Amino acid sequence: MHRIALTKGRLLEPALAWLEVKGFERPDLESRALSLPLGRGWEAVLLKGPDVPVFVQNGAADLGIVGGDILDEDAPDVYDLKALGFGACRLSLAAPEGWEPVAGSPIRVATKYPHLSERYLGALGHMVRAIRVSSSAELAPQLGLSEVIVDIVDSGRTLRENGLREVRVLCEVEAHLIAGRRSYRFLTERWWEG
Amino acid sequence: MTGAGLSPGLWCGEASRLRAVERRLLGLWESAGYAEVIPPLLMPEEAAEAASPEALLGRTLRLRPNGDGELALRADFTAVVAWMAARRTPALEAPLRVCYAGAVTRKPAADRNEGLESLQAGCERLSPEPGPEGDEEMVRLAAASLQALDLEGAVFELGHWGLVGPLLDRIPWPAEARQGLERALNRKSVPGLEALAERHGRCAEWKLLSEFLHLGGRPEAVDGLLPRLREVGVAHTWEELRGLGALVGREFPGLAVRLEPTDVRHWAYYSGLTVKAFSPRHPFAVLSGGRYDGLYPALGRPWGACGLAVYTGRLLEG
Repeated sequence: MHRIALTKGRLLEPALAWLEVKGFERPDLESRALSLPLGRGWEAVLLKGPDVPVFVQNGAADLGIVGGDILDEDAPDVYDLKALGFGACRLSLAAPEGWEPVAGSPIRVATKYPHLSERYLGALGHMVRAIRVSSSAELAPQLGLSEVIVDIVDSGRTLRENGLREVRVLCEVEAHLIAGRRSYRFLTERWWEG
Repeated sequence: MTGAGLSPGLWCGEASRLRAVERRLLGLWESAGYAEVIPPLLMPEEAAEAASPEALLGRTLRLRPNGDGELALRADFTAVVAWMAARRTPALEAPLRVCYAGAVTRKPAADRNEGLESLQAGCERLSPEPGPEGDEEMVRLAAASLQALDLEGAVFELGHWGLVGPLLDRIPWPAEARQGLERALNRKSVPGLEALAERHGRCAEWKLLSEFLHLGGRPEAVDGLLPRLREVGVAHTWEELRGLGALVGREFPGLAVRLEPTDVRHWAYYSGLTVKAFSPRHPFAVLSGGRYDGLYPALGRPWGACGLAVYTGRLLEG
């Protein structure tokens, strides 16, 4: 049985639709099972985004579908086979209304993406002190944990509802198909191509 | 103290399986003229820094037993063998062949299913002059090692810095783009290469590097690129690599061979041939190696070197 790791949440539905176009069965999402049969000798396993490359890299899944933000942040040892054209969003710098960087002072950034924050904001000439959080980064400026946040933005509604505005788009993000080193070599039917 | 990453050791049956694998490999290598050495666990930090790829240095464990200069724990055999050879061999008149087996200790990558210690066996071939003179011998030895391990369905891969390195050096992009380019090639990331080209511009070198990602290991796929490889001055390297692939095909007919020019993790370390092997039962490479002619000059010796390592601990897990 071959296995594809899928990201739970907003990437799941478009990933299943893409697999359906490639000839796989649509699994029953009402079930609480975390592994779902897809037919043709494949099953899907549902994971949190950062876990998808871990399963793929270590051979527990052959392929994975994950956001490009996670690939860029964690630099896992996997092959990045293709950008899938769905799950589009952006990694942005967001701050409370009226915030301006102070020249010569480091910016405290609450984020799930410390490496990307340092890379992109550093390239813009800012000194960055990244504070890693794994959820609800939008609360950090209100509670004094940071001045700004770097996070994934889709519609921007969560930012607005927490008194933040999108200051700058750092990069565009979409879903990617990834493979482990073994699977890349030994999967004979390369159904994802074309 | 949680004990995270500590090795559980090898218990009765496991230890005998490891010894059987090591005996098979060391026996093969000794019959090919490689003498066993037992490298020390510790070396001066300064020597480790001169002899290790940069990425490995970040994972090297260090000790300060007497407060007077740091020591590095053996994170890789090639570096410690090089340090030994540079101290114990004043001059090299002819190739020197050594082999070893044991454990290395390094900080594990957070997302890899590996502990602090891992087991390897390998061999090193030192030559008085740098250059590809020992490449055929190393390719034969790697293929014979794979055959001795009897790994069903294993594939043997050959690559060469000389096919990709000159293209990386010539690409007219800013220096800071180079790291991203190497990362994209190593991850076979077509989206990554596209994004870089969007930012820095398309050129003949970029186009060739992108096409290398679509080879699927098949030599005939590169043959179509030969006129363009000639234009950028790397066709001779391709022919050399193809020749080595043909040698394996002739002498080891049961072994599947792939040519993978871009699959190298430490570009700054390798200077020529690279070899790797994968098995359907193991998620990571079971063997890797290549030529690193810059290693001994960094330790004050003008010698060339190539070698290979078999990840014996991974073989026990499959």
